[in-house]
Amino acid sequence: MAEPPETEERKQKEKTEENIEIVPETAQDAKQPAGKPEESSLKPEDLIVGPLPVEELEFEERAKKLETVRKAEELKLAEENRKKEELQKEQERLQKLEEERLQKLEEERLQKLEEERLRKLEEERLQKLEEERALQAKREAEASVKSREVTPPETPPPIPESENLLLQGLVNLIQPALDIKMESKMYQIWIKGWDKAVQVHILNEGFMHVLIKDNQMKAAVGKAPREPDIAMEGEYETITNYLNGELDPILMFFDFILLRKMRLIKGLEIKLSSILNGNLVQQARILYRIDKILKLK
Amino acid sequence: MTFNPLTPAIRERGIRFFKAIENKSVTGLTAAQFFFRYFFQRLKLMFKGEPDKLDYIAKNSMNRKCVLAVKNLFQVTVFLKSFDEIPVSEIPDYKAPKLTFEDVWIVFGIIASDLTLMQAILDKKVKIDKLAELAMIFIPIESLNPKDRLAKVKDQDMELLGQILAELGF
Repeated sequence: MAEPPETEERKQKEKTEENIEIVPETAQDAKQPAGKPEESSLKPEDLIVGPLPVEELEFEERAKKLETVRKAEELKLAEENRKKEELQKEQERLQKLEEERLQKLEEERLQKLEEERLRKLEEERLQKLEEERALQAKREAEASVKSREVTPPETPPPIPESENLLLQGLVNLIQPALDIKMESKMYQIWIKGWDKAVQVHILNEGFMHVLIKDNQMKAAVGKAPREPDIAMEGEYETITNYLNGELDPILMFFDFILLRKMRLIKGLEIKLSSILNGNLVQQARILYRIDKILKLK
Repeated sequence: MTFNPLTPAIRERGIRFFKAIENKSVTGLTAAQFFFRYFFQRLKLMFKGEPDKLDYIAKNSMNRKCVLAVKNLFQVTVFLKSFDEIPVSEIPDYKAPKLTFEDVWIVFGIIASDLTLMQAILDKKVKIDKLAELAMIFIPIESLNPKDRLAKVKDQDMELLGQILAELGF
């Protein structure tokens, strides 16, 4: 009697299962009881079932070889790319350095040109000035010859500019001192109602004067515009040192009295009449105040 | 002796410099050189394009000696050779005119235009010996009325002062 196809199929399956050689991959797998195949992570299709066909092995080997070749090519390509990049970077760096060098050279060249231009301008300016000065000197010489021809011999020669400037400088030194002193109440009271002109003759230099009027003090170069109330005379050094209070008061007294270094030409009349009527005291008082006003102290 | 008022930044640097003079980290030689160098170099700015005036100053003010002193701090002799060359020596020259300042801040006050030299003299903060000779240095300059000119070159003046201070490390 023929068996049903189901039974035949089961038998076939059992035969196949008997032929399967289960190769345990790990010790754990080996120890695992055969009755619990579902706990294994391996699936039945993963199991090696008998020897692989030759074609498949060859295919795999070829694939592996191809893979190796591909990887080697990739590595080679990467290496080449890296070298190319490095070379490019180096070229860029060199190019940059060259550019910088050229730029620096260009800047230096421009700077030199600028310096040269400035030097030329300066030279031209100096030359021009020299020419102008020479021309001016020539003109002055001509003018002086003409003036000498025209002006009568009795006219006194004009005071040289340098001397006037020296006096102007002295005035410029005294005026700020007078301005500062005028801020003081004491000096304001002292000169209240005064109308006095003080004239100083600096020997070999010229005249300067101080006008005290309307509660103001003004120093200027030249003779006083009216008859001075007090007049002094002396050399530049003595007058300047006197203004600085460097002259000893006792010596100064003798200088005034004995008419030595500095002379008081006008301002103090030593007469018996002036002593008797008290004018001498009055004059001495004014002189004392003028002395304090003029001094840079 | 006229000066422009200082800008706040220059004033600050100037104060630092004068503090250094006060605590002696800057010598009297440097201080004197700073003062005279600034004073004479700014004349070149003020009289730019007027060589005759500069010649006049050089002729009258130069080749003279002057002693600059700050009480209890230093005393140096300055030789005015030219606008740019002003050698300073520590050896005092007793024949030369002398400017003695009560303290270093009086010098700063004058440079900063806080007070004038005349004010300082009248307040007895500055003593002058041999004014006649000293005036020979300053009078030719004063005679050219430098005050107005100085105001016109204020920016360049400050630049010059800043440059000199920078050269001294301040």
